[in-house]
Amino acid sequence: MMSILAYTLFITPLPVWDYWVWLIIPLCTAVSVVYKTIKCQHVRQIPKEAAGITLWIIAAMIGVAAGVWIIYMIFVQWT
Amino acid sequence: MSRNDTTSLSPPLVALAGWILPGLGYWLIGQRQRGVIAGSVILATFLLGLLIGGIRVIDVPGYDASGEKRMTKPRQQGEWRLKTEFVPEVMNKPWYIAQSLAGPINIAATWVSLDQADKKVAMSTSRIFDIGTLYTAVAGMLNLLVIIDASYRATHPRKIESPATESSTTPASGSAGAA
Repeated sequence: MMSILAYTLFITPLPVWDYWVWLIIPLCTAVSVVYKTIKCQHVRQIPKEAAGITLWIIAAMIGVAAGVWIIYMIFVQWT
Repeated sequence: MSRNDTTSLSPPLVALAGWILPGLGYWLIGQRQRGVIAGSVILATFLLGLLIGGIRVIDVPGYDASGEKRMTKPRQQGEWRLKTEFVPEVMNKPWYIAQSLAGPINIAATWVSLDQADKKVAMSTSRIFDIGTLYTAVAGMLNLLVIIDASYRATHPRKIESPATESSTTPASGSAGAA
């Protein structure tokens, strides 16, 4: 309760220590939208194209995380 | 039916406008929707970084964690390191270069960050600081992409089909961002 009362917008860090993984979604979305803003010939293509590439980035991140986790389990935990 | 997407503005002017306000470069060359989308997303990303990590994620070269100028030793007679050792001092905090690309909003954030450091507001720690820094730095680098693309479009007219005749969703080719 006290931490919420002491919170000052833009001065105090956001209390997201338990949810930091989810912060990848807005960042990927921002990168995708700006990238597609540059690449797409017509502005109306941007939402669909950006949504697609956002999903691809997140899926790739999950894949890399799974790969690293497997390597960690094989070489560190199971040996 | 087609129209030429041309402009008489010089690329440096478009680039400068894009730095002053993200997306303004596109706006000046007549691509207003594109400018509003890119600009608002870049500014939102930068502000989200400040929101997540606090204003002190703007870690200014030449200043220590308490907002004091970093001086050469002995401290009392020393000179400001940003003057005497500019490159090493900036390279000590390279993310500030990327943050600077976001434009004057970073200058304002720098001023507020140093002001808050004077008031003994601590920096966020570890992961939250990293994420806040990442957001603000990525916003700056995205703005660099947008500046380059807007400047390129200012000098390289391309035919854009009118929406009525548009049928494909093929991305544009030949823009600066195509690389």
